Amino acid sequence: MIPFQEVAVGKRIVTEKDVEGLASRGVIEVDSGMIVTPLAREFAMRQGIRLVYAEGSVPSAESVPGDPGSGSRGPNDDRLRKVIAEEVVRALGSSSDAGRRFIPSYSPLAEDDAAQKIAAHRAGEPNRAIVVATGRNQPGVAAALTSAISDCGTDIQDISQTIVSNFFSMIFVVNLDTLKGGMNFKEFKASVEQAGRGVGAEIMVMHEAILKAMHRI
Amino acid sequence: MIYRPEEISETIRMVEAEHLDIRTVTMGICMLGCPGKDPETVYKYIYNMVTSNAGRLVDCAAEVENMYGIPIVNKRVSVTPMALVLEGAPRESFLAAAQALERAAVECRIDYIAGFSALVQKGATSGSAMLMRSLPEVLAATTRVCCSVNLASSRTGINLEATAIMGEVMSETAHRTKHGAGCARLVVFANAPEDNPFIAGAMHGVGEPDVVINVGVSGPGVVLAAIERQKRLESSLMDCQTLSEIIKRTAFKITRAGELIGREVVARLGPPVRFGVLDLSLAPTPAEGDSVAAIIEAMGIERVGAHGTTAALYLLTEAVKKGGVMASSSVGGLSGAFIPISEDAGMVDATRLGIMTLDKLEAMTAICSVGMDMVALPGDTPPSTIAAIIADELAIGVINHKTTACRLIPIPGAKPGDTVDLGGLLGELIVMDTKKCDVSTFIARGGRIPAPMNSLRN
Repeated sequence: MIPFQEVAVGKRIVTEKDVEGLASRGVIEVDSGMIVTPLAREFAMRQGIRLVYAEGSVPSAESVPGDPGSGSRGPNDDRLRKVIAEEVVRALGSSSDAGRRFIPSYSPLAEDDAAQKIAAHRAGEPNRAIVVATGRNQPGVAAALTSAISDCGTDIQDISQTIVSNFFSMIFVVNLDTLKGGMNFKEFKASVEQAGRGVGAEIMVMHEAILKAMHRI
Repeated sequence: MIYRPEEISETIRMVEAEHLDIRTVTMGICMLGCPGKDPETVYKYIYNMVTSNAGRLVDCAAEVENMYGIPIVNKRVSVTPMALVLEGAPRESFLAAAQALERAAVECRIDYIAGFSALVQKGATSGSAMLMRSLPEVLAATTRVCCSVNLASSRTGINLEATAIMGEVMSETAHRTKHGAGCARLVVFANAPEDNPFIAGAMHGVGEPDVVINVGVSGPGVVLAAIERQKRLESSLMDCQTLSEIIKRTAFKITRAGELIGREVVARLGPPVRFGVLDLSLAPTPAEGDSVAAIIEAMGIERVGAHGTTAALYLLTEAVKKGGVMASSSVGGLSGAFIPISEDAGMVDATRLGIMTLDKLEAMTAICSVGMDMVALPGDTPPSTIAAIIADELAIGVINHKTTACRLIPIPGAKPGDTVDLGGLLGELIVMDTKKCDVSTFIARGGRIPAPMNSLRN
């Protein structure tokens, strides 16, 4: 094995010459005590040798060819390899079905992170519902609606109410962040609507995002 | 309050009373990469691609609909133009592909699936020619598959040879389906957009990623109500800038709602589905008040089709585009105002009264978003005349660098002025009169009308 060059700060420089000697089964594990020169990286890439960066190690100054989207430091082929492996297994497994085996899986790039994606998509967006109730005024309308809302674990952040002769119109802004465990928007909507029906009120529930999109720039 | 009660009530009114809706959420699916050309492989590939990608579309759309309280009227699918997928395949494979699309649409609970299409603006490959010739059979054998052919573009001119073929194809399709209804699923284009979400002309272009969601936002009812409200508020006559401003503001709000909903559907579907475009088209429905004609009439034209209609349509279409472009950076597709004869109650009335004629409609298509849409013709219209109507429409698109299209329905046995009800979304058709002159020699010339020039534009 070709020895590392020692540098003053105690880091080892991995040069083009070192690459082949360091590679084990096509992979070099780069730890925090190593600095890989750009030329060495390029050489490794040409040879099909993969550089795996251990926790805490930082590739040297220039950017590493990789996946800019994921922010990954190394060439991001782990995910690709996983997908290919799965595809090969699938194809071999269903070889009796000639048409089907060429079909890509539902989503080659999908990981089970749909929930995360939705969360990221909504990050920074308020998670509130607007509840509008209208109907003929009678004792207990406000109580019925507010208790239905609080039964869902949600918090009323604002109320506006107008009563014209015998008719009322109430608007609630409800914070959904504290929605009871296991309950989703649809169930919240259904339970408030049901409470409204009990007191003869017409109920409209919509997510705040739609109002924000339409009325705020 | 965070939102003024008026803002909240405006939103509710738009949805409840003024038909604000997301007209369509259309999933475009890339079909390139079919591993074989034999009917069985083609069938399996297409069926699996559609069902694996669009299987959850209807459910995801329903969830989003419920969350925001805005209805998503149609959930649909478009695919890569089938002529590209099936180039070199035998005739049976074309029929297998159509059947696979039909069955996949049923499986996914989708009412229409589009993209049984060919692009022949300069010339037809043998696959494209086969696809065009298979259309009458395909349309007769299916009920959900929508077909389109791009016959012309501003870069290539008009493929008159293919136009003549399509005249024959439309005529034959009409005779093979009840009331010619198969023709309602067949569109011919000049400058066809590759990201249009609106059926029947939707397709998933070759420059598109694997799977996209394109959203068609609509709301002629909302625009109409906004104009009517302003009319009640203003004591003097509104000038055209004010009108334009009202339409722009309304289009802005509709578009913002559309983008929010489209992106939410995409987030729920997860990768590899991406958000494509928003198509801001005012698309009328037969429902009362949901009419583009009514907007034009609200501007002070007694009946759509009267003199002044083209100018009013220009005001409307431009304002819709400007408001929409301000609201979103993902505007695409057709974007404008649809003027289908049968799907718009005001258009039907004006046609019945003889005010809306084929000639006026043709003039309006120089401005609207798409063209001669849902026009019923007498059953004895010769194929060469149908091709000539198409050629005129293509010429308007090619020379104006815009999309134009024809969805013509020659109704067997029908005479000018007859009424035929196709039911549902398609609405009521009034058969329009055509000129009884022979144009077959011109159409038979074939070849290609050369592309227009960009200078000397007078």
